[in-house]
Amino acid sequence: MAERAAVSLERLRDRIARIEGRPRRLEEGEAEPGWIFGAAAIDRHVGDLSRRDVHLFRPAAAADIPAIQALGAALLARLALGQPRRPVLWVQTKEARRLWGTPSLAGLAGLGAPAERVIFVEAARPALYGQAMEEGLRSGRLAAVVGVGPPPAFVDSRRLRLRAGERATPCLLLATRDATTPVAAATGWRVAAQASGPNPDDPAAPGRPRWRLELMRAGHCAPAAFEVEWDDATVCFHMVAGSAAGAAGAGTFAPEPAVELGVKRGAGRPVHRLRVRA
Amino acid sequence: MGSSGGPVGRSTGFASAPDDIQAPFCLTEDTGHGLAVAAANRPAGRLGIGVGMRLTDARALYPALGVEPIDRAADRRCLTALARWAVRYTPAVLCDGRDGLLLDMTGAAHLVGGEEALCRDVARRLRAVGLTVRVGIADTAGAAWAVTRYGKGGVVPVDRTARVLAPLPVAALRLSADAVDLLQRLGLTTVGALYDIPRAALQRRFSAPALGDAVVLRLDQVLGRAEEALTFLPPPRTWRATAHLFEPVTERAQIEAWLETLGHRLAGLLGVDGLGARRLRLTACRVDNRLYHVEAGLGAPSRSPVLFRRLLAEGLDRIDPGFGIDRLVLAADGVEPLAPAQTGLLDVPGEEDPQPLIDLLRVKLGGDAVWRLEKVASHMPERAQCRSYAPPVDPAGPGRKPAAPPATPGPLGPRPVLFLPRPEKVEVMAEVPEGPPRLFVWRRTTHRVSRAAGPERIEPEWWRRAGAVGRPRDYYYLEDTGGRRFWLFRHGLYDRGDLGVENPAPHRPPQWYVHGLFG
Repeated sequence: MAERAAVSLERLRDRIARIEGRPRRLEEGEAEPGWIFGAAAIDRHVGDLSRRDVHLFRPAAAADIPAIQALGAALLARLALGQPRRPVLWVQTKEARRLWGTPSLAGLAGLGAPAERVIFVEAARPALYGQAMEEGLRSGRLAAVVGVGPPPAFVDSRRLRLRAGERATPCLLLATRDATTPVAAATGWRVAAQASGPNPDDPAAPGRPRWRLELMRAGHCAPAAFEVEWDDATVCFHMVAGSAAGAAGAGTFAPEPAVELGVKRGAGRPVHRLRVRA
Repeated sequence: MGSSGGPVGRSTGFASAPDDIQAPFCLTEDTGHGLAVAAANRPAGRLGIGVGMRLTDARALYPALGVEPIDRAADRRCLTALARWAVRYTPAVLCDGRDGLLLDMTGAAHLVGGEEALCRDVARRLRAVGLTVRVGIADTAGAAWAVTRYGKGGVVPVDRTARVLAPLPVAALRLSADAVDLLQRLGLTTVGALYDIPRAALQRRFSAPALGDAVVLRLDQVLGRAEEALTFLPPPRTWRATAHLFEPVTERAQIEAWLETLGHRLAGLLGVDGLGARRLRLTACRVDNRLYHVEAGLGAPSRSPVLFRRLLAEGLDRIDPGFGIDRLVLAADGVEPLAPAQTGLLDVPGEEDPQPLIDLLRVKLGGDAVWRLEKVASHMPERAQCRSYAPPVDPAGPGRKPAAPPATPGPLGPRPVLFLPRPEKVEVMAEVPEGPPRLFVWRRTTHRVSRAAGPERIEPEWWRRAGAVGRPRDYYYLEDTGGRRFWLFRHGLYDRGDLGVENPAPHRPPQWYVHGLFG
């Protein structure tokens, strides 16, 4: 009896959520709507970015830190397509703000991200940085948590993964350092800014932003590299045609981790070995 | 209290009027026969403008008279607030008319060093906030009223009330205008003149017996021969839940458990009144009487015990239980109306209101560490947004459309994803002075520009600041050979002097800055 009541309650909630335009709560074992890049080659290779896990983005160089923040904003824009109302928590360390500034309303909106729904948090100490993200993930009220700061220690990132799974809130870690310390994450990426796409209005002016994404580590697929362009009009990534990196990862779908495909040192190692080292 | 035996005892009254404007100024009130002066400041008083005068007459005396309508309700609120403040002297305080406070100082004056010191202290503190004050202390409430309004104020010695009041006009007895009028026609102009008249004879003079009774009663009250019922201000309402612990607790977990219990009680108290807490304070009293306070603010009123516990639990680490905590008080210091709402049947995750999370983060990280960005109508890029610490005015709750963004014109050119905390100076090489840079050095790294867009000229907002108008900025959107994109601006212009054509006056050369970064 109690079970039946619970089931009908769930159904009622789902109906109300549908009427109110909120995302429906997922049934046990039900697949979530995809959080994909929208670019065919990546989606074929990587599939969905999990919405209940941590994704780590490391800069290829210090100068690429703005690039990963823009990429994070672009991914938020993709995510916001499915969750139009929930706010986003953007946590940054004081040091990150001092060096690289805070995201701007117009800039985020220009990328298509839901800028007016972003709650910014500044952590004065590194310890608070992790705590703030954890609180955000635990609240279950957010579309996503974005962290801009040094990559967390392995144990801290494990906690973030657990919290992200509990309330199905994704976490994007935008690292301000490309340290090789192991971090628990569903996917690990290295990002580098690339020369922007052609500007149809003015050939001398910068065009759409392009990034080179190296998938360093993922539980379910092989490392690969892609070159993508962000189109804020369609809120979608596009593969950059004719780029060598795009071709390397695009055509080959390898079901098992293939070390030969590894782009840089350590890239092809299975995740469990990294954990052992930690 | 002295030996006078008055029913009220030593009372303090003081009257006040704002007087910090130098130009003649008055407040007006609609009396039904046109506007009349309800209050005037000292410069206006010197011109002969007084309370009760018609505004037209006052304007005839001084055409440039500053005039504002009086706001009696605001006056009342202010006076009540002042009465609450006066509780620092004695718990028995009441608002006396429109412009007075009455304090029952019986047995309390010695706490501030005696009656003379009390008068000085009250006057000093109120003058410090710009009020005109007269303070008087007397045996009875009526006598204190009389000496502050019709006498010189100050302390009336015990048992000298009758003598001090004797030269004051009869109006000092708090009589109606009719009674004062009649007494004056009878030639009884001072209070002292009434002392010697037999009471029956005095009462007989009035055609209406009520008037005669009133005069006698007021006289008796002033001299302490009749009771006077005074209704003092009730203490302000507080919402607090207290736990007296028979067995002192020493563990943090125990305190937290009690915190939850108190939270439920406090939420119940607030719910009865339809209020939500905006500020919370947990006071923990240790067995050796040491007090610990843990405070938390809420962005929106709430009655959620779970939220109360989570917010305050952050500060429990600062409590050192020592030999135990034997009293816990959870108080809502700030409250706001909060309509009753159905809370979840179960603890449903996925609620969209992020305010509890924001409050929690504020407790953890500090009040100014959590913000949203809001659009501001400004052309200056750094002013086009501001940090907002308040919850959004129209939260896009379920079933409601999100509020339309204010109709501010969007930026004309590209805007960077990241704004640097302040623009950073760069060294720039350009092909032509007015053109985009070819090369710039930022943070000791040389960036070769491969592509550039601009300039977008932004003129300083001269209407915001009088006098010093800043220099215009020319913004360029640059991409270096590594694909990194920057937002640079040139502060100032190369005027003709720099180009060597004319106007050789000394001129600050323009300076280049990096203002923002694109991804």
